[in-house]
Amino acid sequence: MRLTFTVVAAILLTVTGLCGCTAARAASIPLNIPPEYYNCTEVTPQVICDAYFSRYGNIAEAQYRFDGLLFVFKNVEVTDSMFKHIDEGYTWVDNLVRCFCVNIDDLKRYKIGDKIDVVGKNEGVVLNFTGLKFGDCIIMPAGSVQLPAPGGTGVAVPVY
Amino acid sequence: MARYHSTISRRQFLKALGLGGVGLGASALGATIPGLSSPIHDVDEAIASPLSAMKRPSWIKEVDKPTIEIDWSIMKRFNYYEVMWAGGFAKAWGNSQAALITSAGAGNTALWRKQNKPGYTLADTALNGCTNQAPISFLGPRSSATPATLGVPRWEGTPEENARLVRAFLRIHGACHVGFVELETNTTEKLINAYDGAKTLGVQGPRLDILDVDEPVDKPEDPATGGGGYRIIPKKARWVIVYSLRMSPELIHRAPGMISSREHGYMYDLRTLVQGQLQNFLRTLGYMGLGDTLPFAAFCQSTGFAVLAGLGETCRVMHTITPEYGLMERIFVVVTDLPLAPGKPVDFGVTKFCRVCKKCADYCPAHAIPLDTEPSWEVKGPYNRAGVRHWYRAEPLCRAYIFTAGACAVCFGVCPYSKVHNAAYTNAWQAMAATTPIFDRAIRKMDDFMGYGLRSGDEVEKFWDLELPPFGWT
Repeated sequence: MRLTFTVVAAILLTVTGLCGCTAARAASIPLNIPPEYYNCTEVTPQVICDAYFSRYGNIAEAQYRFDGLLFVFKNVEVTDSMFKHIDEGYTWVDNLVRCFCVNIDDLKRYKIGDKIDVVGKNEGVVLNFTGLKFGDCIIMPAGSVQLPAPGGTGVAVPVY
Repeated sequence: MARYHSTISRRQFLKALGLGGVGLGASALGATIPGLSSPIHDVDEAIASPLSAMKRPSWIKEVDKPTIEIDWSIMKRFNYYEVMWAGGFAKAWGNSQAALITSAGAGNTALWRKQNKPGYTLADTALNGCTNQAPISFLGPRSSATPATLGVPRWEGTPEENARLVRAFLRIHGACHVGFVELETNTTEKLINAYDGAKTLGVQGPRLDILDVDEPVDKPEDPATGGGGYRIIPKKARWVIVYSLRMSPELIHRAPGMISSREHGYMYDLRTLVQGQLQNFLRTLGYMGLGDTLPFAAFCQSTGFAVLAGLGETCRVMHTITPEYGLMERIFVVVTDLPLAPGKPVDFGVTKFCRVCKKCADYCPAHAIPLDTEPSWEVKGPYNRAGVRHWYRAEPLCRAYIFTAGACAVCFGVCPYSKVHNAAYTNAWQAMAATTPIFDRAIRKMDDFMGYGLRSGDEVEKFWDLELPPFGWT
């Protein structure tokens, strides 16, 4: 027993110097998403932007109806341009919506061509830019979480 | 003044203690022996000790007080309705949000089933959905004979003999650890809930009164929901039988998902059977056995009783860690008027280790387990039981994740104590952690380095190819 004790102590001390504590997640653990995000609305960046900016849209009405709500963009293809503003804490989705993420480093886990879902809160129009700003965005592999929850959608999104 | 007596030989005594070595006998009786900080006075007291139930290593020390602080003056008997599994969830989140979370869980698990996500496949779903339970009740099935029907007087034994009897009975019926606690009005009795659980979620359960009456009473107002009304525990039922059922690490290490979820479910299934058997056993002896009406622990704080009985220590996860199986056990309780020799708390370094390790908190997908080094007296909400200096969990976050992911138990799976039973390395580091905390950080790092913890990806589904021993006890 004493020998085992000594051997284990030696191993422990050696390994302690070689590695650090990690908080890694096992790959199969489902992502934790704030419950209110399940009440999001599925939309494409083009459709939500059209509601604000197209010739058929009405920016005042769109602000009233859609600002502050949660939306999910599904099956977004990761492109080179999405990585350009990581250091500023956001990424572009379809060059139309600027998504500020809870953890922008999540994007680094994907490569160009991968498909992702992005869910976040619509913070509305950004000055001097015909696009929208989303905040508190979460990036996840496409189709990894059922968004919105069945019966969770409460917003009618215009389709032109 | 306690009286001590001996009915078995020194050889039997040593065998029961697991100290069969030559030369230890002289120091055992009336003296402190390895693993016991207080002296053993006689054979019966020794056999009734938790140490007699299993050959426990010398680094597990019996202590007078639990290693986690309890302030009995703060603690009040708890209303089970407050927990997340009853009314607490809707109370914490609001009805619409709670409904949304439930719906999200249904949507996610349906999606993952279609995607054959590891842990959520049809086979995994079938495994988790096979649950089948025996009827379970406060008074028990009452289907066994009584001393009156058998024409004999009721069983009369010393508390030590009774403890031995109950322990032997429970062990052969699947219990892993068995211990006993004596109820005292201003302390341990507070671990019995003030309100029991109801069969229907969101319904206030019956009041649990402890009164000076001869017979127990079971009078829920609405038998269909099990809500309202009252139950009475006679004051003479002063003893608590605490037992554990062992879970399979192979299943729990596949958390979260339907495979690991089944292991918790199976413990609840098995528990319904064992509780009824124990209640029937006590009935034939001539005593009452008062238990849960739900498959899980709803009428008392089972972890508290497990700690006081010496089954193990509580931990950052707020469950019981035993030296033998870590978190891989479920604790259940029956209250009886059969006098039983109580056990004592044990110390094998868990709460010190938890201060440093924090692996469960690091891995908690819901961030519900606090990362604070020191435990606190501050509760997070009405769903926590005040009066224990603990690492109180943010229960609404924990439960919401369990709903949206369909299951969890990640904390159970990653805990360094939840490793292969009796492996040389596990035994060695546990002995170290029990002896000194200076290696605790290194032990945690070693656990990470070795990749212990959860199975992921394809490893999850390899479960179906394993040649597991009975009950998956590896």
